[in-house]
Amino acid sequence: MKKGHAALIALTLTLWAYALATLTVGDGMIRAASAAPGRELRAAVAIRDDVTPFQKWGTKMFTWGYLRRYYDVAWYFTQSRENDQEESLLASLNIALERYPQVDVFLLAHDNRYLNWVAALPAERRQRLRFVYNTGCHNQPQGPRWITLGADAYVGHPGYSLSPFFYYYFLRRWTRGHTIQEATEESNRLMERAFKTWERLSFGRVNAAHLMRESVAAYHGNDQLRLGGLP
Amino acid sequence: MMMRYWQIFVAICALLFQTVPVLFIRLAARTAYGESPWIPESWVWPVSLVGLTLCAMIGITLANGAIYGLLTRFRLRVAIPFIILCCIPALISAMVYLRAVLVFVALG
Repeated sequence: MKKGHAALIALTLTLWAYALATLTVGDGMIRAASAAPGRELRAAVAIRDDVTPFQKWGTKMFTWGYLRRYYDVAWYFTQSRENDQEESLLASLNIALERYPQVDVFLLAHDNRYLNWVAALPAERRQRLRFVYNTGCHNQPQGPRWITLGADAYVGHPGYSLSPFFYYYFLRRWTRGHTIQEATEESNRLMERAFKTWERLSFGRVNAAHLMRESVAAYHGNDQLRLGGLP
Repeated sequence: MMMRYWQIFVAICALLFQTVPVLFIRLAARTAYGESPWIPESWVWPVSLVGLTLCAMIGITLANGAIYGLLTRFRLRVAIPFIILCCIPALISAMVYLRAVLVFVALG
């Protein structure tokens, strides 16, 4: 074969492979977005619980890029044992609440009670809490308590959830300026699509409807909140 | 002998190389979050990004080089099976890592 034809085929296959990877692994959000206005007003605090090294690595790799790009400052903690990092997290959250009018909290942990930690902070500081996302299983009912503590909005999962599916879609939409309502509904829809694909690939051994019942995220508080909104 | 068939060797290497990112991820996770971590957590994100980017680029280069070499040096009935069995899986795998890097830096 002529060298030019061979080079063209190699290039075409490369582009095809990228498109395939993007379409199968991706979620339809191909282009990056610039940070929503008011980045200098926002801070984020995230915590990962004590899980396997790979899970800790994956959560940090995925989360950190978005927090550093879309927030003025972000703190990220990984626990090495239960109740680890309480002092560090509260100290950082206290600084964030003191300096920034919009503070978002990402609780990337199994069934958890971090709200008891945050409740120890002064009430007037907690009023600057804006959005709390909690991946924890059965932690959706914490929503009203987080709102009482001072958060404007809360998103959580009702049962024994596969929240990482949701979180992948949600964080990408939330950081790009979707409202809580838009980001939650779209991420739930994409999570359901992923579960149905899994169900088909497993020849029905996985029950997508059951997974969805356990995992479907719900919001409490201000569902029109968005990243670039006014404080 | 090896020099004569280096394109086939590169195609097989491109496929085998796809185990390297898996091992790299495992190593990065253990060095930062294992029983006795020996790099600070703040390093894990940049180091892993550099490592994954390198893995993706090497994978793409090997697969492309093999496709080009196979198509220019061998008959199609020899080249096509190696491209389908080795080069295309290697390319797709490398692109998944590249895509992951773009997601990790919030650019994709």
